Amino acid sequence: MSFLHNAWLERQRGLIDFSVANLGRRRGRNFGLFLAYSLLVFLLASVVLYGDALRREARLLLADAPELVVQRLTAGRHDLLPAEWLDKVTGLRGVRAAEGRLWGYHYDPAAQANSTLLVPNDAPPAPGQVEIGAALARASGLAAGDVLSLRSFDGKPFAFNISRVFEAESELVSADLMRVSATDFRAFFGIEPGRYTDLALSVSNPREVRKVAEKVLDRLPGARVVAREEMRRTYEAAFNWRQGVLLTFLSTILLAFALLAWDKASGLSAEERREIGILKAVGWDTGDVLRMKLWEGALLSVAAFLTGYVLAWLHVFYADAPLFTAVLKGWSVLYPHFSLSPQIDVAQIATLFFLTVLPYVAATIAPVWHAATLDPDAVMRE
Amino acid sequence: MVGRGVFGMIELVQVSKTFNAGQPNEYTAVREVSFSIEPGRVTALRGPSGSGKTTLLGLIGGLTRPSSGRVRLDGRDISALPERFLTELRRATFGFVFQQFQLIRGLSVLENVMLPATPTGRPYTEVRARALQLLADFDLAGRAEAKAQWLSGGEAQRVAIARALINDPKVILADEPTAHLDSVLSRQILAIFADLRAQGRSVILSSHDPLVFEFGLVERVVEIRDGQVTA
Amino acid sequence: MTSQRNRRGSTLAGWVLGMGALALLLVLLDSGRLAASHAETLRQGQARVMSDQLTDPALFTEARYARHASQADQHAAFQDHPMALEHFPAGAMTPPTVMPLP
Ligand SMILES: Nc1ncnc2c1ncn2[C@@H]1O[C@H](COP(=O)(O)OP(=O)(O)OP(=O)(O)O)[C@@H](O)[C@H]1O
Ligand SMILES: [Mg+2]
Repeated sequence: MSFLHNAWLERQRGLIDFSVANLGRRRGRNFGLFLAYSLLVFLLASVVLYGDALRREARLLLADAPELVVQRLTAGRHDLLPAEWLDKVTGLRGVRAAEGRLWGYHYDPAAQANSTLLVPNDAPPAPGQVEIGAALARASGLAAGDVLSLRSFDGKPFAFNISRVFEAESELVSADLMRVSATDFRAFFGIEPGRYTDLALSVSNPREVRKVAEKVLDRLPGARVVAREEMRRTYEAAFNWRQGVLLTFLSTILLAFALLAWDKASGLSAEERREIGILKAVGWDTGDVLRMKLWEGALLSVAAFLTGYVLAWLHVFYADAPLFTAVLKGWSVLYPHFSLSPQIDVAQIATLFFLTVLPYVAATIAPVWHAATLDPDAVMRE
Repeated sequence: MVGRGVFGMIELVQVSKTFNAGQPNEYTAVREVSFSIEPGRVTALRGPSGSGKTTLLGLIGGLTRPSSGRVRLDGRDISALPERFLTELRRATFGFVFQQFQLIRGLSVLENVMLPATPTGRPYTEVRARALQLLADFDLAGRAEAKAQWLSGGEAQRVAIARALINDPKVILADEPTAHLDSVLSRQILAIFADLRAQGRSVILSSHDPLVFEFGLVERVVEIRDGQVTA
Repeated sequence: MTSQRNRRGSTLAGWVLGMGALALLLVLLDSGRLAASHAETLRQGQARVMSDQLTDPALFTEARYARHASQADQHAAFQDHPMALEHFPAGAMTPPTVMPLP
C-alpha cells in the first residue's frame, strides 16, 4: 500500500463515500432540497450583490456632485432664485466657485415620460440644438440628426435638432436628460433672464462644507442648502430601504425553507434510525455516525450554496438583474440600461455562507445526535 | 493478522441484564450468569424462545452493557470501557451476524460488506479487495453491485457473514444463523462456519434448531433457560 | 477479480466541490475583470456628473418628485429612509439623519 496512506484521511473518505451513497439513495428528496436551497441562496445572494453594487456605483458616480446646492424656498415651496443670490455667495470666504443652474422637468403626454431639461455651464449646446439621454432616445425612437418637437410652456411648438445622444456608459445618470442652451431653456419654460433654478457651490476646503453652508444661510435667510453628504445619504437610504424590503420579503421564504429543511432533515424515519443502529452495531462509534451525517449535510448545502451564489453572480453582473429591475423601475418609462461592477467582499460571502449553510447542517445533525448515542443492541431484535 | 494480540478467551462473571430497571415493565433477561468460552472453538447457546440467547450474545460482544457482573476478554474487563474504546475493541475482535441480517437497503452488497471497515481507516483498495474476495468465497462474486434489498434469504445471510469478516475478527457471533433458511441453505451456512473454525476463529452462535446440533460442528453447548445457564 | 468500476462517492464529492470551488474562484477572478472593464463606464458617468453638475442617478423617472430625491425637502413626502415603513414622513420610525444646520 501507499507510503502516504493516512488512516485519518482514509476514514474521512470512507465516511464521505457513505454520505454520498446516502444522498444518492434518497435522490428525489435530496434533489428537491438542493433545488430549494440553491434558489434561496440565489435570491439572497442576488439581493446582496445587487444592493451592494448599486450603492457603491451611486457613491462613486456622485462623488463629484456639487458640494453644496442652494435652493430658494417661497412659502415653503421651491422657487426660482434671483441672480443677486449668485453674487451674494460668490464672494463668500471658502466658496471656490458658484454657478447658477437651470434645470426642470418636461412631461411628454404622448410617451407618458418625464424627462429632465438642463443647461450645462460647461460647453452647452448651440441654440436650437438638443443633446438627449440614451433611454429617452430609445423611448422616442429618435437618433442624432432627428428633430425633437416639444410644446413649450405657452403651447407653442418647439423644434430641436438632436445633435447627439449621450454615451451609453453614463446612462445611469443621463438616461432622461435633455441638454439645451440657456436661451432655449428660458424661452421654452418662460423664465426671465436673471433667474436660476438653484445654485451649485464648490468649496475650497472640503472640511469646511458645514461652515460655508452656515455662512450661506446667514447671508440668504430664505435659502435651503443641501450638502453632497446628504445627497449621498439619501441614496444610501433609498437602496437600503429597497434592499430591506426585499430581504424582509425573502425572510418569509427563508422561514419556509427552514421549516422544509427542518422537516426533511430532522424527522428521522424509522428506517434511518434503524440504519444508525446498524452502523453502531457493526463498529461505528457515535462520532463516526455524526461525522458522516455532517458530511452529508455539508455536501448538500455547500453544493447548493456554490450553485446559488454563482447563479446570482451571473444574474446580477451578466444578465443585468432582471428580477430587480422591476423593483427599482416602478412605472418609469425612461429607465437606464446600466451595468454594475462587483465589490467582492469576503465578509459578505462568509455571512451568506453562515446564514444558509450552518442552520441546515445543524438541523441535520441535531436529531441524529440522539439516535447515535443510543446503545446499538436494539439492532439485535428487530 | 488475526486480531492484534487477541486470543479470544471470554469469561462472564455473575452477569445480569435487567431491562427498564426501576420501571413497572422491569424485566431481567439474564440472571447472574457465569461461564467461559475457549478461543478457537464453536460454541452454541441453546434455549427456547425468550430464554435470553440474543441478550447474552449482545453482552458477550459488547453491544449490550451488563446491569451487573463482568465480561472479560482475555482477562481484560470490557464491561466498563468507555464507548469509544469498547467500539474499537468490538470492531477489531467481534464479527456480528444478526438474526435479521440487518443489511442497509439501497446500498450495494459490496458497500454493505465494506461498512465495518470504514472507521478503521484501512486503505480502500485493500478493503475492497478483501470484500470482493470474501464475496467470491461465498459464491457471491456476481452480486457485488446488487442492491441489498434484492437478495434472497440465503444470499443475504452470506453477505451478512462476509460483512462480519471484513475486519478479520477473532470471534464470530451469529444469532440464529439458520432461522430463515431451509435445510440445504442451513447446511451451506454451517459449512462456512466450519471453515471459519478451521481458520482458527471462535464461533459463538445461538440456536434452537436441531439441524445445527446434528451437523457435528458444535463443540460446546451452553443451555439457557429463563436467563440462566442450566448446563 | 471482477472488473467493477472503482468509483468512490468521495471522488464524486471531491469533483463536485472542486468544480464549485473552481467556479467560486472564477467568480473572484471575474470580479477583477468586471471591475477593470467597468472602470471606463464609471469614468464616463463621473465625467457627466461633473460637467452637468448632476446630483442624482436617473433611476426614478416615474414622477417629478422622485427624480431628484436628494434635492427634496427632508420633511417632504416620499423621502426614503430605512426606518420608514412607507413613503410619508409620518411612517418613519426615526427621523432621517441630516447634517444639522441652523
Ligand atoms: N429492550 C428490551 N426491553 C425489555 N425486554 C426485553 C428487551 N430485550 C429483550 N427483552 C426480553 O428479554 C427476554 C430475552 O430476550 P432474548 O431476545 O434475549 O431471547 P432469545 O432467547 O433470543 O429469544 P428468541 O429465540 O425468540 O430470539 C425476552 O423475554 C424479551 O422480551
Ligand atoms: Mg433471539
